[in-house]
Formats: sequence, C-alpha cells, structure tokens
Amino acid sequence: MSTNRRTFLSDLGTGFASVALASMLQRDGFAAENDSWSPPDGKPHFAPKAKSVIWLFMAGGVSQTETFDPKPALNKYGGKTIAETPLPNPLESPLIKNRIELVKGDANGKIYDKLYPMQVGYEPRGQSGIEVSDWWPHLSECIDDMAVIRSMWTTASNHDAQLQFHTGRNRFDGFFPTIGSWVHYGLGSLNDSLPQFIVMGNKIGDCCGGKATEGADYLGPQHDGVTMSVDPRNPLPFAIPATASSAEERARSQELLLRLNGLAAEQYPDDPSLTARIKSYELAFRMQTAVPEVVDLKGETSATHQLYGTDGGATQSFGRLCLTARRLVERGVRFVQIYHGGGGAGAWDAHSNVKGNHSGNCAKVDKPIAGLLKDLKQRGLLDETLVVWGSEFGRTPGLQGSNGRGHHNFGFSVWMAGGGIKGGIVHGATDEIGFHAVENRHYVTDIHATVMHQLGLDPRQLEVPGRKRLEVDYGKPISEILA
Amino acid sequence: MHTSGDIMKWVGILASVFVLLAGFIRADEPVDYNKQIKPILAARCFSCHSALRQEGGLRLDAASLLKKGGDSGQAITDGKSAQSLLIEKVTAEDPDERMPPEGEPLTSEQIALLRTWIDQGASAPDDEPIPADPRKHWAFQQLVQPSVPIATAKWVRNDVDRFIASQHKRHGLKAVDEAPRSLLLRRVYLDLIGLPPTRDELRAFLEDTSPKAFERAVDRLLDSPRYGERWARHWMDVWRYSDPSGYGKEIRDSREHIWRWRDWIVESLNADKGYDRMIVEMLAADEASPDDVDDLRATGFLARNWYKFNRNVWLDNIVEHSSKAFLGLTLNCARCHEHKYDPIAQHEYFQMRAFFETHDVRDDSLGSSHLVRAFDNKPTTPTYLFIQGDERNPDKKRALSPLVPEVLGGELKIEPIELPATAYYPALQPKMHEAALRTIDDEIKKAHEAIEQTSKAVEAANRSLANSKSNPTRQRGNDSKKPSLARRVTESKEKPVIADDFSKLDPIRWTIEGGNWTVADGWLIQDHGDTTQYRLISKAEHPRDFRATLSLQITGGEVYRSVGLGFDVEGKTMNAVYLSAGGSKVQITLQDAGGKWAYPQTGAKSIPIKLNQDYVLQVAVRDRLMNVLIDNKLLVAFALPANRKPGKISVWTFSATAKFDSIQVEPLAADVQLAGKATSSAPATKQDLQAAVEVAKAKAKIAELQLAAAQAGRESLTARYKTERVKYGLDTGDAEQLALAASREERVAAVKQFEELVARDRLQLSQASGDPKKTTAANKNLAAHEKQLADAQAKLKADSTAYTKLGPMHPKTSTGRRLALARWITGRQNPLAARVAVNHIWLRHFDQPLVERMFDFGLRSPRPDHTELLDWLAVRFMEEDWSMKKLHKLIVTSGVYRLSSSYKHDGQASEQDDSKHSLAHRACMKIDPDNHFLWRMNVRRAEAEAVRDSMLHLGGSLDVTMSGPPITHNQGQTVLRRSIYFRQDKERQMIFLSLFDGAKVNECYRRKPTVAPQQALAMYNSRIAATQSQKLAAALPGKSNEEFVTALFEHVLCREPTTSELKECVAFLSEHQDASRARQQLTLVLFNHNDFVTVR
Repeated sequence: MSTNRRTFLSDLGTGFASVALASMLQRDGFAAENDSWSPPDGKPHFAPKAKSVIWLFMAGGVSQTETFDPKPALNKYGGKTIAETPLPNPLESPLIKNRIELVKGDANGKIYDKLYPMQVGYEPRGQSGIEVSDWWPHLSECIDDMAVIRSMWTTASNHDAQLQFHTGRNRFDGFFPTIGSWVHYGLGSLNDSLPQFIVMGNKIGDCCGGKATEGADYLGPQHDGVTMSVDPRNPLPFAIPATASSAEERARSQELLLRLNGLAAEQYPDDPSLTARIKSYELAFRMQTAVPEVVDLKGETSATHQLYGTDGGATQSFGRLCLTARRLVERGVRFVQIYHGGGGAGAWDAHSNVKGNHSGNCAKVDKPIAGLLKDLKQRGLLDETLVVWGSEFGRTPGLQGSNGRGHHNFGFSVWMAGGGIKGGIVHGATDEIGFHAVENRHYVTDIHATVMHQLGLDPRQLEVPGRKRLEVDYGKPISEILA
Repeated sequence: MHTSGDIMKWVGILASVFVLLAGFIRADEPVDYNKQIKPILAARCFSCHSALRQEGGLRLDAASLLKKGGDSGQAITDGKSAQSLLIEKVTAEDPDERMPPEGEPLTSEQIALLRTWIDQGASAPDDEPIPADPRKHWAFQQLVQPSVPIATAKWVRNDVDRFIASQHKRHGLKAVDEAPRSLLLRRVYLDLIGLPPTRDELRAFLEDTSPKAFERAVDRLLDSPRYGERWARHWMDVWRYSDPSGYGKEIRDSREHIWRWRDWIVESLNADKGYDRMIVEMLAADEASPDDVDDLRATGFLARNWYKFNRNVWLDNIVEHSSKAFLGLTLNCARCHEHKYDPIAQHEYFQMRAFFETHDVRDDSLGSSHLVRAFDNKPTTPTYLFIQGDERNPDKKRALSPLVPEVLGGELKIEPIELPATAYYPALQPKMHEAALRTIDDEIKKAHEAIEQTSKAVEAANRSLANSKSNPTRQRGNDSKKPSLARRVTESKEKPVIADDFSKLDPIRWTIEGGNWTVADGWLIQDHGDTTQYRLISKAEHPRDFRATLSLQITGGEVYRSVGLGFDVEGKTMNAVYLSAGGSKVQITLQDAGGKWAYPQTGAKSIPIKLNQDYVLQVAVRDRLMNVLIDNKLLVAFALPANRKPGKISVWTFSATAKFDSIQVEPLAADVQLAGKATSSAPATKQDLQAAVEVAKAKAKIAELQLAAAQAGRESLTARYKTERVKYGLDTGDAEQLALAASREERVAAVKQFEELVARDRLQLSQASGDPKKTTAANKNLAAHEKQLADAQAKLKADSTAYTKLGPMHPKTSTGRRLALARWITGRQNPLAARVAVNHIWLRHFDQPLVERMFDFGLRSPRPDHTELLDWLAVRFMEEDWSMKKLHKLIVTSGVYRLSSSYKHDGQASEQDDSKHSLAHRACMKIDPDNHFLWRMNVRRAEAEAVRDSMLHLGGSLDVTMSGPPITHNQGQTVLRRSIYFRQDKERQMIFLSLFDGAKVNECYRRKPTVAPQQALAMYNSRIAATQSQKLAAALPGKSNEEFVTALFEHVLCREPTTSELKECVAFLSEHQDASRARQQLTLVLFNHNDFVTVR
C-alpha cells in the first residue's frame, strides 16, 4: 500500500475507512484533481436530532390497505371492476406514465382491476385517533409516537424493489451505496468495540438484491453492513473461533500477536499500514467480546422479555431481533437494519390469502416492534433513536386469484418514530382506493433524506468525486413530519 | 509544458472562485486572470474553444489567443467590455445566440468579472503558455523505442534499471540496497504464483549460492501452472470477469458457463500465448479460429457483457471496457457529446460500437453443459448515433460504419469471413459430438444404477411378503427369545442399501433440497439455521421394512434447532422423527403432500438434547410399527398410519445447523423384534405387500426400458452424426446408405422412448389409488403416449432417408468486423495497446503503475516521468511476440525489482549503518515521498486470494485441481481449492475474499486494499486458519521450542525470527501447559502477523 503522506490515523474513532479511502482516491487521481475534497471527518454537518437508526424492513410487500391506510371505498365497491364504479380509472392517471418498469413476461406485472375489500377492520387509536388496522393491537398503543406516511411510491414492480428501497435506485441502473452505508460513511463511531452498521434477520434473497441491499458499493467494503446473528454462539462472521479455546488462552495469544506486530512496527517505522493493522486487531478483539455480550439476552428482566414477546410464541424470533436492536443502539451502534421475512420474494408477498398471510406476519412482528418503541421510550432513548418501518412496495387494491393482492408500487405506506419525528400524525394520502399516492408524494429517497437530516448529515456534502449522483438520489427531507 | 491536462487544475480552482464571488466585485480592485478569469473559461468555454476543438476558429485557452479572436473577429476590445464580442455572446437574450450553447448561462457574477477584467485592460501574464494540439499528446504518438540511457549505479542489472537509475541521478535520489534474499524470494513467489515459498523451498534457495539461483527460481515459477492462475486473476480484474448474477432464468450481467473463459485465460497464460493473440481470440475467435472449441472460450469476454434487458447497455459496456482495457481510452465519455478532454468525436464512439453491432452470443451444446460464445448473428443491423446519447433518439439519417478513432490513425480493412460448416453447424464437431455422447452415457449409467436399485427393491419386497407368509403374527408378537433391536445395534447381517460416511457429498446418491451442505473434517455440515426445512434426499428407495442409523450433532440454529431423519419420502410427503434441541424432545412427525406437518402426541418423548453432542438416532420400521432409539436406548414405539407408500430416505434440519457423521440404512432383519403394537385393526399386510412387489417389479421394468431408450438414443445420434459428416464433406462414405441407417435408428429410438413413457404412465395409474384427479391425469398421459408409440411403430415399417439435424444452424458468414478491430488493436502501428498492457503488468509487480490512470492514457494523463521506460518496454514486448512470461522475467530479474522496501534490511544493519542509511533515506523521503521514482520497493498487502490460498498452501492443504464450473461462494472455508475457482458475481462472493477487498466485478482496473477489523476476525477465527495452523504445527520439526519457532518463522514468514521474536515466542510456548496446543496457537498467531499478509 502506498504511504499516505498527509495524515495517518489520528484516531481510531473515525475508523480506517476514511484513511483508506483518502489514499485510494488519491491514487486514482481524483484527489489530485480536487484538492479541496477530503473524506468525511465523522462529524455531523449540522446539529443532529438523532444518534442512531433502527431500520425495520418487511420483505415481500406489505399491503397498505390492511395496515395503515384504510380505504372504505374498497368495501363499498368490493367485487366490482373499476369501470363498474364511479371512480376514475387509475391507469389513466398521468401518475402512471413512466412509472411502470416491468420485466417482460412477469406475471406480477398485471394490474388487477376487480376491487377487493379490506380484509381487516380499522379503529381510531391513541390521542391522535389515527386509524390502524386490527392486526396491530400492540403497535396501535404507540401511534401517538409515530408519523405515518401514506404516500410512498417507487418504480420497480417486482421484488428488486427491495434493493431500490435501500439504494434509491432501480436494479436496472446497477448497484449503489445503501442508506445504512451512507450513514456509516458519514458519521463517526460511538462505540469502539462494535461495528457501526449492523444487519440482522432473514436476509434479502439473491433475487432481490441480496448482499447489495446492505452494501456500500463504491464507498468501499469497510462501509458494508456487518451481518450479525442473535445466536450468541456465532453472532458475527468469524467472530467465534472455529475451534474452542479458553478466554485466557485467547488473551495470551492475542497479547503475543500484538507484541510481535509491535516488534515489526519498531523495525518498519515507516509502514503506516502496519500501525493500522495493529489497531484493527485491537478493535477486532474488543468486538469479539462485545458482540457476544450484546446478543446475550439473559440479563434482561422478565418484564422486558414479556414486552418484546421474547418469552415464547410467534413473537419470539422477531422479538429477539428488536430487543437486540435496543441493546445495540444503547451501546452506540449507528445503524441497525433488521429484515423480516427476507429470502425468495419475501414473507409478505401475499399473492394469495392476504388475510392469512398478513394476520400471521403481523402477529409475529406487532408486539416486538411495539415493545421496542415502548422500551426505547421508557429508557429515554426514543428521542435519539430514529425508527423506520417499511416495505419495498404495497399491494394492489384489486384482487389477485381468489383472495390475494398483487405487487403495487404506485402508493404504499411507511412510518417513522422517535429521533425528532413528530408523533401522532399522518402525512400524505393515496387516492380513494389506495392506488396512487396523490398528496405529498414521496419517492423512497425522501425517507433516506429524512434519516440523514435527523442525523445531521447533508448528503450533498458526502459526495465522492468521480461518482455522479442524480438529483433523485438525494431525496428531500419530509419536513412536515419533523418535530 | 502546459497541456490540456491542466484544465482540471483550473476546474479545481473554480470552487475557490465561487467563494470569492460571494463578496462584491469592485471595479477598483484588479481582477486576476489566472485566478478569476481562466477558471471560468476553462469550465464553460474550453470544450469548444481550445486546442481540442477550435469552433469558429476561436481559442480561449490562452489570453493571447483570446485577444487574437476567431473567424468573427476579435473576441474582446481591451478596456471596452461593452464593445466586446465575448460579452455580447455570453449575455445574449436569444438562447440560440447565447454562449455557452449547453447548460445554464454564465452567472451575473461571472459576467461582471469578465467585464471588469476587460475594462481594466484584460491583462494576463506574458509568459502564459499556449496549449499544444491534443493530437500531439504523447500517448497517441507511434511507439518508437528510445535508446537505453547510460547508468552506472551498483544495483543496476539490466536495461530496465538504466532507465530508473538515470531518473534517480536526475532527481538526486539514492536507491536503498537490495532486499535480503529470503525476503526477495517471498516477494517473487507471491508476485508470480500468488503463493509464498515453503520452508524447504526457502532453504534450497538460500543454499544455492550460484549467481543464477534467483533466475532459476524465476524460471521455475513461470513454468508452474500456479503462475497462470495467479495472473489470470489479475487479467480477470481488468477484463471484468463475473459469473452471472440474478437467479433461475433471470440471469444478468454475464452468462452461465462463462467460467470456460476463465479456464482459457489460465491456460493461455500458462502456455504463454501472445497477448496479441489473446486479444484476437477474446474479440473474434469465432472469426479467427471459427471451429476451435478451445479458442472460442475466449469470446466469453463479449458474453460477460451480455445484458438481457437492454442491447444498448450491453454494447455500451463492450465499447467502454474494450476501450479502457485494451486501449486505455475513455471512449465512453464521447457517448453523449464530443469527448471533453480527448480528440474523440461523438460519432467515433458509435463507429467503435459498429464493430460489435452485428454480434450476439449463443450457447453451443457440449452435452450436459454449454460453450457460451460470440458470433455474428445480425450482419445487417445498422449503427446510428444517439443524439445526446439518448437511445430513444437515434440519428437515422446516417448509418455509421465501423472505424477506429482518427487520432489513432485508424485505417483498417474489413473483409467478410466464410465460416466452415463445423462453425455454423457446431454439432458436426467431434468435440461436440463426444460431449453429447457423454451425456447419453451418463443416462445409460443412471439406467444401470436404476436397474440395480430396483432389482434390490424387488428382492426386498419379495422378502417382506415371504416373511409375512411364514410368520404372519410377528409384528404383534412379543417373543422374548428374539433379540431386541437395542441389543443388535452393531450387528447386522443385512447388506445396507445406503451407507455413507459423508467423506464427500455424493450427488449420485443424494438430492440436495436447499440449505448449505458442505463437507469438512469428515462431517457433513448444514449451516443455514433459519426456519426452513433443508433436506438431503436419497436417490435410492429404502425397503419397506428397514432400519436406519444416523449419527449427528446439532450445532446451533435459531429457535427449534431440529434435526431429523425421514422415510417414505415422495415429494413433500414423508414420515420422520427428529431431535429438537430447542424443544428438548424426540418427536415423530408426519408430513403430507402439501408440506403440512402432524405431530402425534404418542410419537414424542421429552429428553434433553444438547448442542454439539454426538447422538446416534436409529429408526426401525416393520410394516406400520416404528421404533426410535437414541444412543441405543428405545424411546418411542409408534404405530404409523395404514397408507404407507414406498419412498426414499431424507436427512434434514429445521432452524438448526448440524453436522452428520454417517448414515446407514438396511433391510430390517427378519428376526429383529420391535417394541409396541400396531394399533390399527386393519391387517394391511398381505395385500399391501403383494402390491408392493408389483410396484417394485413395474419400476424394475421401467429401469430396463430406460436403458433401452438411452442406448437406442446413442445409436441414433451416432448414425446421424456419421451421415451429416459425410453430407457436409467432412468424411467420406455412402451418403444414401448412411442416411437410411440414420433414419431407421432415429425411429427405433423414438419407439423405445415411448415404450418407457407408457410404462411410467401405467405405473402412475396403478398408484393413483382411486384419486380421481391423479387417475384422470395418468389416463390422459397414457392415451397420448400410447398413440405416439403406435405412430412411432407404424413409421418403422417404411424405409426413409429423413432424420433430424444434430443441432441448430447459424449464419454461414461473419462480417469480419471484430477480427479487423482486434488485428488493428494489436497492430504495430497502434500506439496504445502495448503501452497499456505493459502498464498493467508493471503495476502488479511494483504496486505502482508507470501511468497512474490505468484505463485512461488520454489527455488527463500528462506525459509520465517514466515514458521512455514505458515505451522501451512496450516495443520490446511487441518484438518478443507479446510474450508476457518474457516481460515478467525481464522485470523481476531487474535490479530495481530486487531493492529493499525498507532502509533497515530486516534488522540486520548495525547502528552505524543504520544512521547512515537513515540519512540517505530521509533525503529520499523528502525528495520523493511517494517513491515515484522507485528508489525502494513498495510495501503492499497481499490480495484477498493470495491471503487465503497462502494459508492453505503453507498448511499443506491446497487442492490444486484446476478448471471447472465455479464452486459455490459460501464454501470458501470447506472447499480447499484456489480462490479463483469460486463463484464471484455482484450478489455472491466469498465473504473471506470480500473482507480482503477482492475484485469488484463491475470495474476493477486496480484493487483498493484496506485494513479493517473484520479482516482480523477472519484471520484469527476462520476454520481455514484453525485447521491449517493445527496441521502445520504438527508437521513442522521441533525437538526444542527454539527449533520449532525458527522453523515456523521460516515457513510462514519466510525468514528467521529476530532475537526478540524468538524470545517472546519461546516464552509463550513454555508458559503453556499443553505443548502441542501452544504450538498450534503460535502458528495461528504467525498467520495473523502483519508480515504474513504483507509483501515487503
């Protein structure tokens, strides 16, 4: 590796990442042409409202009309085609132009025009009286802390929208850094013993972006999300030695290693990568202890376990992820990305039996997510932790088969809570049947922009020379939902 | 000299200008031309009005030229901005008049600055240089070999050094000394073969004191097959090798079977095929050697860019990356407009595209696999310029013909190529035919296996029937004289139908259904612990009455952590028993055709099941009675439902990771007594058993028909092949007679095929067991196939010469465009190809190129300091038939390659030497801190592949099997082959490699190494690190700890330990109670030593 002559690794806090990037850009000739450019220093660009993000992603496409966006018109006209109702044909809306990007021959591309009634009831909840479907009994109790955005849209109509939700770009454009990696790239560490961008849960399938939905692409692999499992036996790739050894034995050999590398550093005082490697080992060894500790939930009280549903039943699996997420942000992890139902098209992909599918999935995640919000709040962490819940797209107002809904990218819902977000409000709206987002429409990068804004980051200041970004990549913060 | 490369510098200053503009522009403060005016002109005007393109005869890239003006007269009138044409143009209201024509108008501040400058008299430095004509750019000039400078430094060994030494002299640099020999050996090993020397190799080298010792080592390395693998990976970076991403049929960005191109690269490098020939084959093997199956693999280069959804994306990638990789030209910048820096017009981009416009890729059958290759399929497709690069807006007024950029002097002759029959009709080739025969032979082998298995099944069914006749009450009996199952675990007279110790996962025996199954250390491992059932299903069926023994460990998982053994498996249907570490029980479960599970209460028993503990799970079934034993202890006796159907065995996990040691399944010995009672009153026995015999017989019959059909298919293929070869003039023979035979064989094969299908339909019908849906479907199939069979039989009666072709036919001519392009690229007159190739090779020897921008030798790469060396090497490269091995040898045997990377020489320098060197070193550091002039060697991190492969190699475990389809990316810790052979695409890469900054598949002209804690964890904790350090610690000599430590350093780091290191390590070993463990730990520590991943 070439020597970076300007500075070397003043502090571990900002990581080797920026140093390595600086030297690599310099070698590529970018830095030489842009003398004013330097990698992020890990400090926010302006006063942040939030320190950490918990990003909850439901894979497969959650039906907006059965969760957060009630549409009585569907009940009224259920069974009729749109032509048989007085409603305007959504396919003739100007909003549909250039919004369909279909894979040829993909059965999912059809528009289902026979309206299908809502499969669940709604009630006004909380002080705010926002309507939430009956499949969210626990989360409903938190509605006054949540801002529901009912006017999302995206362009991919198939599950590669999962990638798009995370990078802001359609799969056909290629791969780009994800929101988590931008945050990781932009902000310094709050904890020197833990990775700062952690990914948990059932991973996105290769069909739909796979690793790239948590990747950093051109920002460099050091900004990729680090996959963590909640299995205390093997929480990180290579975190647990392949053969068992005692803590004492490990401590001894690690000490020897640091000493031998120290001797080498005396011999090669002019080799900066050696210094960096010594520090990387120190961090790695701290991570090795810190990570198993953080996924060990034994010390949590039984009240906490009940709150998250980790005490048993359908909520156990997702509850563990949510509880672990709280423990991570408590320890200063910046970005925790949790998937529910990843793999293949995704668990929420209810082409048939939307009722059975969604009631079942909600039952798995409702209590854990509500537990997370309540727990963060009671610990005073909700103010500084931004929780984002979403899915790659919604589902059709029309019927597919006998009891399902198809993919729907023209209008769907996302909610956010904590981290300086206004609670108890609804922002944006879809049309009468939940087809098009019509009021305060937001493309997915507006969510990214809002996250960045709350963390005190200006995405334009994170530009990497030589990497052209489009206007749409930056998005705009949704100012109406900010407290 | 002031080149257009400086434009970028001006653009860079622009940012600060904007800061200045935030304040007021005051008429009384002098405007600085260099700081305030030139950046504006550079950013907005130079692209049309500079040396590059002198629109309207006007140049604005120097104040003197600006004043001179263009075709419309003077651009400015000094002191009078109001009368200046320049101001008139930039302030014009009419957008058609206004300059610049593209983008936003100049801001009012910019205009104000220009006015003020003019009004103040438009002063500019007198010595402002006038940029040269970009066509005179160094890299666009024909290659002329410079003479070698005279240099006398003591380290100089060959002509390469003379160029470097003369630079040292010019800049007052003093080279460090040569690296110690051991360090040099390690350097050249990793460099040439990507693996370090072993201790024995090190010792042999150190003992060889001949002056030729190093050269001999180099020759050996270049002759090693490992050389091709190492350098193939480098070229795969440059040529963007990628396995396809996507899933199922939604393949993207590349093609299946692209790995043949990887094999071609490895083989070509090992054979030292000329770089020129390699380019010809990659771009146009289908035209240069149209029926050479080996050469055709090279066109994988074109197939790699294949993009299903948009032809333009595909062609864009080819134009961009062929230009970058072979020519060092960013031609892609000229797709939407004229190139901003280089003298390349937009139409020239599309003329380059025209070379590829006519091509397509296809898969030629190689039996069970394919050769993916390029061919000209669309010879008449026109190429149009896309206006502003917008593919929706092609300029159809003018079709563009293929041509190379004018600045490169591009004359070339394109001649269409008549292809031989073996190219446009590839099935005529012996290789293709042999591959097709191999596929049929596999079917024949499978049929033989089926015959063997089905005949065993008939025997077993008959035996069950016979037993039931002779002892009809056995299953309910409670005869204490019969040995109980538990006492007979280890003894069995019965021959097993399945016996597998899982030393490998044999695809002939098992079907894999999901999960991630690997084999390591004698265990079969499944390490996906999510809540999905992952199964291995035997290809063979088990006897109706059987005993199965599975030894296993549950190692983890999410919640249930269940591992099971299934039987009667047919589709989703199965009966099974599992151990659950999450539920602490053993449980019988019955899974129906829809995949739904039933958990009978009588089939469960609570017992603690621990992780990482050996369990022997045993299932014995006689008719409907089932016993489950764990570690020889009977836990459950259970009565299965009456409708058992024949099926297969499965081994499965559900939300569990697990290891399996072995499985054995054999017929249940007649005298074994099972516990419990079958509770049903229905005595299913005799009729059921009779039926089972009939089913087994039917299956045996089908197996025989299957064999007959496969054999007839082989005859048919062979006869048609012979006939077609004669027909196309490739062989001689009586065409008429051959055609008669071919026709007949084909019709016979059809009859055999339908006979098999009819038999299968009949079996299906008999097994429909009253299910009306299945019965109807089976009847429908049967009727259709019976009719087809009758038709086929009828056709046998007459003589005919009609028969089916062997495979698809393709166009008989090729445009010759790509071959012409490839010959032009590699022609002596092309100034770029050899320079670019030499630069790539130099980079990988020195971790530093001669021209910084690997893919851009255009105007943004100002004349490099090492141009003479580059040109000298490039000419020599061409003159030596583009031999890469000769170039490598020249470079690595040079003196500059042998320089130390440190002034400290491995700690051997005395205090006095040290300070003397240190002084010289400090002076050099000051003059040339980035080592631009190579006064020492660069220190670098070994590439991802080298790190992994080296550990395996030094541990003595590297599997050097070459070639073949990519290995699953997540088997990097268990399959011990070189890293180059693992799948790598955008979505799937071996995690170990990506942690160490492995190649990016989209563009990787140069790797970007980082240092990260995840790398530390991978080196410290991975299975490879553990197993290899264990193996190595045991293999190294070590009567004493000192001897061991020395041997270990020599083997792993290729050097002796220093006194302090020896002391530390020996102390570590002696503190540890368990000596062998301590040595293993120390070995692991050394694999983690910075010097292991570092090349000094």
